[in-house]
Amino acid sequence: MEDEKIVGLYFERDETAIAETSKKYGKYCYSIAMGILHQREDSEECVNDTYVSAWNAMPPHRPRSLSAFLGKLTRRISLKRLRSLSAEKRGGGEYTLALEELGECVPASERVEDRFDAQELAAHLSAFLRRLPEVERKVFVQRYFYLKPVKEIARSFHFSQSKVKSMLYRTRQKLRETLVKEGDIDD
Amino acid sequence: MTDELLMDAVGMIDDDLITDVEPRRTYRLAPLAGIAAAILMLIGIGVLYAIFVMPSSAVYLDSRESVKLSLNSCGRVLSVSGYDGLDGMTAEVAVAAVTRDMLDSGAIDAKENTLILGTERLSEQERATLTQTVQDVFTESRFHGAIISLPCTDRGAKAAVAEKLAAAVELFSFNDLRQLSANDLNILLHEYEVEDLILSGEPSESGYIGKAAALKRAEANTDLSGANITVTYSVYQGHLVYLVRIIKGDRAEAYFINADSGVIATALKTTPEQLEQTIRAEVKKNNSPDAQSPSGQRTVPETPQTPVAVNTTDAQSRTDQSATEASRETTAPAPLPTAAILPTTAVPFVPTEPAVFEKPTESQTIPTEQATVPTEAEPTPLLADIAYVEVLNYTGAYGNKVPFEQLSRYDKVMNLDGYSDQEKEQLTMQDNRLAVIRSSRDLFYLEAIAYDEGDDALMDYLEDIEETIIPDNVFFRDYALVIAICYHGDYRYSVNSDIQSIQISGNTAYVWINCTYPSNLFNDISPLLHTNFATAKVNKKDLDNIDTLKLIFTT
Repeated sequence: MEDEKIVGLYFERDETAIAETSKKYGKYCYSIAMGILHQREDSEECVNDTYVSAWNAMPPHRPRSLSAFLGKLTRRISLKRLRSLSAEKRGGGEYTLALEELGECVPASERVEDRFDAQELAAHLSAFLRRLPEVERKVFVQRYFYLKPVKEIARSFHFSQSKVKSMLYRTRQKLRETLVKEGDIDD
Repeated sequence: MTDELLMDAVGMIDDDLITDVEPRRTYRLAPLAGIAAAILMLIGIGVLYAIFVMPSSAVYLDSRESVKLSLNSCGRVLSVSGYDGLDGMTAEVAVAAVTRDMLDSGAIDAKENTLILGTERLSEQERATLTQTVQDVFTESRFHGAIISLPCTDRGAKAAVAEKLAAAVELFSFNDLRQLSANDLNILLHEYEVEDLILSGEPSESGYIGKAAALKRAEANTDLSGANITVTYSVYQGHLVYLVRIIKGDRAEAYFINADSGVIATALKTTPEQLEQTIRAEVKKNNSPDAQSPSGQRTVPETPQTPVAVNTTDAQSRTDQSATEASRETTAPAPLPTAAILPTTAVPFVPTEPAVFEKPTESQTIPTEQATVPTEAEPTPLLADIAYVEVLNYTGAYGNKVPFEQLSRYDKVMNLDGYSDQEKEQLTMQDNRLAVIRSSRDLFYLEAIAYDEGDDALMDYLEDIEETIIPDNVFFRDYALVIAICYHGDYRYSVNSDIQSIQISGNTAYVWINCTYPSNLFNDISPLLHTNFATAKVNKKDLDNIDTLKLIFTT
């Protein structure tokens, strides 16, 4: 079913909207949750929570891209779930690694949330990503949005892992320079 | 919590950035696609090359000159040997153009009116169309031409005809046949049955003495009166000849008479039973072996389709049909003889009585490499008729001269290679000698000039000859020996000289020149200034070996 019709079902408060969403995007959402949580049961619960959140959001929200909307919901819910888990559970996951990597972009002494809210930072990030070459942008999003392991990204793009790591490193350096230049953080 | 806000912000980037994350499928296929495109391009170029540039078939036109038209698979002309400006035309248009040019330039004329059209890798229908094209050109030019049409290989149309004839007629060898002109081959094709080729029109026999004249010559040299006589065309030492068979009682004779000059090349005496075998042995002995013949297959020797049967008595001549049949019977191949009772080779027979037409007598036999230069002791002919000159490879506008009456029978000109033009001029004026041979590209021609000193008009005329020495119908593409004869005498009388034939034997080129005079002047040899040209194709090897020229004047 087309996304527009599925969204229409939500607006009509038709419960088949959930079934159609699961049918079309269930695996997609599950892969995002699994990439963050690494637990089947937690991931399935997050996906179900995603459906509930979508049901509650539509209406009034009408997403331009249903897949991106569901992905963001799944990612946010999974991260929330992850943060609520114990520190031992989080250790070794892609979230922890990704978070440490992104930490290079921010001075250790500074707390990003001290200056910006996430919404404003996301706008800067989007602008930054649009200026990147296509492959670098996709690799960045794969790594830090979907939290995919470097190995998987490398296989997906037919790159070596070292190349992916090198590419991510250069992108993070550019992001840091951009954030400094924009005055988002201090050098 | 450090930087979790940044992680959250990543989760809020624009939708399109999230959805467009998969690597393009073309990443991996791009190189393959490029290779595939390159291969397709190469294949395309190859196909286009095969269609438009690569020769896929050919048309060969053989007359006095040989022309090859290479065609692409669309039937368009890629190239024409010896011609420019025909590329891209259809085969029909190009064949018509070449045929017209051959007619205009004299490569085909009334004397050599046969054109051989051979096609390589073309269908029978396409060959028929091209043949009709040639015929149409002949018709529009009001030319009575003859066409031989057949499939051939890259050896050319003439070689294909020679090959078929050699395969069909045991007497003939491929190497001898290929030396014949297209017209000669056509005459043989009309005499002998050969399959898988199409003949249209009649070959010209105007360049030959004719069967009747050949018959007379044979009759003049035999004492077998009232015998059965048949005359057929044949090949002897690479020349077209009349083969005259004479049978009477237990005696048989065979004469090989040069079709051009009427010279009796050889004569054989034997028995009727041995006649065919003797002829075969003589021909094989003298003809070139077929080392290069592509066809090793031969058919059973056959008697010509329609031998001309002539009886020497009036009574017999009224029964031509029965005579012909009788002749066929008597001249049929005899069983192979045994060595115990029959000679293995025929005894050459030289007629004892002087021939009516030819002189000197030694010219009746085509010289072989073993032939010796005649000596002064030979009988002096009526004309000072044989000039024996050295061929000089000499280039320059220059003419040697000798008064005709001062020519000894075997006058020999000194080699002028080492002389300057001035010295040559002095030699000319002092010695009145004869002949130079010059080369222009692959054309060699001899200029043999004689004139009286003190006659300004003749001098002027000779100067004109320098410019007109090459007749229009001589083609530089072919090796040719061109003879120009100029001699003179009293203005009151005229003499016509026709170069009958040019034959190469060893290092000597023999030129038979037939002179005709008004009957009352036969013994009054005062030939008027007269210029005559003749050409003969000889292969390069033979031409390079020529160092002697013999001019043989006959009346």
